[in-house]
Amino acid sequence: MRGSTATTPNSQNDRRLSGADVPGASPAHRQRNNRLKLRASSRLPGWLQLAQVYSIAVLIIYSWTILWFFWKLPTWQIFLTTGEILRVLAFSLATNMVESLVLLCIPVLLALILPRTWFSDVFVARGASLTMTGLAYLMFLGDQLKFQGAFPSTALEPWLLALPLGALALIVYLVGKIALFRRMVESLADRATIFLFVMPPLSVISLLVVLVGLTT
Amino acid sequence: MTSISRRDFLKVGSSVSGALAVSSLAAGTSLSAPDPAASLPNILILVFDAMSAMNLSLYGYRRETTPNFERFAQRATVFNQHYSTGNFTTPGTASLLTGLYPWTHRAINMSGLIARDRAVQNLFRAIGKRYNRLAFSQNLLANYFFDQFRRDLDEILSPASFSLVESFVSIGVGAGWMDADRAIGDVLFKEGYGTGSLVLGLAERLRRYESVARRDTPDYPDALPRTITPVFFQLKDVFDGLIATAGSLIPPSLAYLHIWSPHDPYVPSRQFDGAFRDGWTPEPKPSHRLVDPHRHHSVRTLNENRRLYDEYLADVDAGLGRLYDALSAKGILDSTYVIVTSDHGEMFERGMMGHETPLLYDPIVRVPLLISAPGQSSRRDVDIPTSGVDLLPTVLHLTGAATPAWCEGQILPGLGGPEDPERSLFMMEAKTEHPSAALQKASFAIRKGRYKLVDFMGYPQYRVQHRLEMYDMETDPEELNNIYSETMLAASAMKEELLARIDSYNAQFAE
Repeated sequence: MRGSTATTPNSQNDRRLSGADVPGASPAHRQRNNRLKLRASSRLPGWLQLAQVYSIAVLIIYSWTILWFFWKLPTWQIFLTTGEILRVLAFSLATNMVESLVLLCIPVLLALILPRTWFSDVFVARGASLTMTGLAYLMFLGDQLKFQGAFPSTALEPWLLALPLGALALIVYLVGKIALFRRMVESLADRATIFLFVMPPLSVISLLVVLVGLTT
Repeated sequence: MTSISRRDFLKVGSSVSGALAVSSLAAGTSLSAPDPAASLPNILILVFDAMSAMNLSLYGYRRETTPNFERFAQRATVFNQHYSTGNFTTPGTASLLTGLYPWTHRAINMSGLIARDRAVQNLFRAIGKRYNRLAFSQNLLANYFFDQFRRDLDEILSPASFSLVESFVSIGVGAGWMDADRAIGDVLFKEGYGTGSLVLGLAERLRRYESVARRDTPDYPDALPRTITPVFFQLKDVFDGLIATAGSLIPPSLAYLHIWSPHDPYVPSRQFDGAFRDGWTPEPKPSHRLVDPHRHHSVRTLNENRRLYDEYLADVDAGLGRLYDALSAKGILDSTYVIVTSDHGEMFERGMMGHETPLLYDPIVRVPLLISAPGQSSRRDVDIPTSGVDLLPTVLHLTGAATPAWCEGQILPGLGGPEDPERSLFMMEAKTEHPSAALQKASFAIRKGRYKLVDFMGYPQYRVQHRLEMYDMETDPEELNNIYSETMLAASAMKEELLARIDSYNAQFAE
């Protein structure tokens, strides 16, 4: 679909959608609107590409939470019923769905605003590597921001933010640049899509459980 | 036409007899249960988390940590040997609210709950709908109990009430749906560890950092007091909130207000920061064998933290003083029983700091208890050992209700209960044990008369199944000299009594 839009920029359909026939709009204005829309739509990744990057986010985010969930499970088994434990899991999975979707917005946004050759053309490789390294950084940052002391005044040192972000950008750049890395990441993202058949459906059920629980 | 209910009629019509009951209390005469038909007094229960009686000047502590407690004591009954039933919030608070020992209510684990069949045996249900029942706790562990009692409570205040910066947990995702809070508090937004939610958990953490950093809090230049959840607060705001809450109670009300301070982190305000830099160092005690080597603290660290704790205590005391003055000025003390106590203590000795420990020495289980009756004008001291399980039957008694058969406590001496100096009181710690199985590894203590027997059961650090320690609390209040072998007669009797209790508890799981 994206391709067809790109090859027929002046079609009746595109003009109607872009508001090019708005009375009073100058030809230059109409042309600019068309160009912007064309640029945005041509950079939007396809569903499969989105799914591959999303699957990486799902794999890491859900695994992380489930890991913590199982770490607590032995204690909960002592004093919670199975139903209560499942409701805790439902809440966790519903939260995971929200945060994985929020996270997916970042590579999509980058694909829209960065030059095509920088990101959009290598969306899976750079998007997946950005997701992986970004989440790894969040794990590190979360560890740094434990409330061990009484007041977290020194935890957000500039180096703590700048250094890893620089490293993250470099990794994302290299993954898009070096064919071997790119293939590895794309291959991993492709395989990770299997999780999309499990986690999102579970999350939808969980979301329903949460909504029913909170409204009754 | 305005209709008057039977309840309203009884309230108004009995005000004279109520006043008579109050005046008898004020005169310091023998206290008795009010006439059921009399107007019911308000009950205000203030629980200060982790407040050790051993660190209060009210009870003879060297540092003057609690001048306002002493002032309050001038119109209260002061219990000088009062014990919590456990050494951390869950068992201690559960006993306060159920009148049951931990082996019965079974809230023995961190974040644990009261056994389902026991959760209906709580103070709020026992006092009944004749009272407006309100609960507030800054400590989430107590909020888990409120959730269990939610059908018996008219109002549960958010744990983030009176605070500066709320955490997402405290905002409350649907009151009465504690599973959500547990998911958020124990997994997704877990404090003190990594967050279970990589993205939102961290975002929430950063939000709090930013919120805290933006606050202009001149009273706390370096750090804000906070709970473990965490909720950041200023003590003055909390006490303002308590004053407002107490002032807005519609009689008759029962309000259970559980304040985080002086629980760690010990963060005294500027006024009290450094107040006890007096160079005093208590006599060091030998390290205990059961102190986790990874949590073992040097004497210097213990003393430094003891000083901070004392300063934080003094800060809390100042808040109590303000509360006391406000209640006096508003005349609330003339119609309200004000109960001040704690769920457990805190220790800074034997290599141990805080209360995450299997130990049951007095600093960690002996807590304050002061009860001011409406209009009381003189101090009364009760030196007989008493227990946290006694709070429920006493409150019921003060409101004219009988002690339920299931209750393991008894009405406090001095407030209508028997004065039995040889009564046995129990404490236990078993946070690693399954609450629905026989106990394998736990600490127990029994206080009877002048003696205290401690049983460390099933600890691999000892070669014996029961490691027993006996102390004479009259001659050795610091619990330094184990006289178990020297007092075999008394020790054996107490040991038998304790073991019988443990066996009885374990027997129900024998099958």
